[in-house]
Amino acid sequence: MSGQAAGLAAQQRALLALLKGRPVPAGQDPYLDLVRGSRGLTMLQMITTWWRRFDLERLAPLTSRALARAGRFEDALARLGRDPDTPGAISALAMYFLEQHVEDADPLIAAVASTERALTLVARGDRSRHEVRWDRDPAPVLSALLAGQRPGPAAPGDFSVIVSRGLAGAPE
Amino acid sequence: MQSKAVPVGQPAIGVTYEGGNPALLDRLVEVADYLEVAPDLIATGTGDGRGIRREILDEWRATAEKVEIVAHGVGLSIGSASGWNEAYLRLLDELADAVPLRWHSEHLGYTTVDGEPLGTMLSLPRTEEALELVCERVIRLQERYPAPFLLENIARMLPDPDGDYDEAGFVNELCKRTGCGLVLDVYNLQCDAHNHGFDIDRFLDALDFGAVRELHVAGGTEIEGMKLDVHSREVQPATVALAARAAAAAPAVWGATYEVLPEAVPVLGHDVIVNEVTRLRAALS
Repeated sequence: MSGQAAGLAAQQRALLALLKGRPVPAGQDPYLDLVRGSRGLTMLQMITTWWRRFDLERLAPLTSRALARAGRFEDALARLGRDPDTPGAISALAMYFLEQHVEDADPLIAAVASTERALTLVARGDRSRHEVRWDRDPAPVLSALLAGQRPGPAAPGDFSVIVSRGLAGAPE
Repeated sequence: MQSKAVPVGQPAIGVTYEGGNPALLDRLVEVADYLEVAPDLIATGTGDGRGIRREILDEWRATAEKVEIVAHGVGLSIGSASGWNEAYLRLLDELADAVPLRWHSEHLGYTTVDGEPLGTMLSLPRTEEALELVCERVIRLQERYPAPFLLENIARMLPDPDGDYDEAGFVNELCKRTGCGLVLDVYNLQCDAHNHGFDIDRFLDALDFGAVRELHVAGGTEIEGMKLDVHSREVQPATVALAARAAAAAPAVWGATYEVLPEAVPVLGHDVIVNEVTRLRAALS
């Protein structure tokens, strides 16, 4: 089938590259040159980023907000746009995004992403017990993010957030 | 499964619903003849673990006792030269095993290239090569699923490449070669007319309406002068009028669906969605 569809395949690969902002030689295919300069391509790129932002702000609100407060959310969105492994499915996109930040160099972002990843897994039915280590009191940080505010200073120390389907205090 | 009494010669009326909203569901089953669900949008997980959650399937099983159900996929990517998305078919299998599907449909386009998501959906060039590719896959779907399969015309955002067929000629030939039906999305036609000067009258004059099985209507938005197919608004009167014109010309149309994104439901509200379904029925009766 792939050989039979060689011309179509080449055009689709070139359009993918244009959409993702990857290099496509100019002056070799008039149609691709037309697409390159079209407002439709610009609009598609804009819409794709807009949807990705909308989905992540909805499905991974804590980490999206933490990154936004750190001035890094736009970079994260741009990186997802370029990444060939970024999933197309919304639910898979949120988990992929969270997993990209669980080992973030910023310990606050890493803790928020790890906590939100655990919450997302448990909300989807995961029955595991997740423990996320924090280097500061997580309560004011998570409260501020939930309220859409910049997290203020939090008391430093070793803290753990436990996420599981069990009720707080109940034997597991 | 129950069927509401739809007068002979009139399309059944449907609306999109993605599950998990019992208050909306109660309202929709009162006014709609069928619900349209996208298997991709009710799936969770990633990779081999991707599937439809049991509680969502249970909801759809219970719903199937009250109203007919059709599946409308987003991610099959039937036009990808590098191969379609098998993961979508596994989701469709799950849904089809759980509930009887009156029909199922997909978009005449592609969403992945070599397995990499585009992040959007692109239309196909109207070439013999693309036509043969899609026809072969339609036939495989028809062999795999007992429910009838339909393909939908999508809105085109990028410039049109040269092709062997015009718009109507391509879908006419596709339906003729495979026997598959057409979902005629009239809002997409309006998007193409607005964005590219697409001639709707010429298209409809040349279209084989005998293949039209379903109509889609929606209300979208305009950004920087481009009309976008986002299913986020109420339907404009001109869209309803175009749907009525198409319904009158289509001798074998089964249904007309008001499409609304799940993300738009909280913004529009249940009353508006119910009213849109009711308005569509009145316009097509």
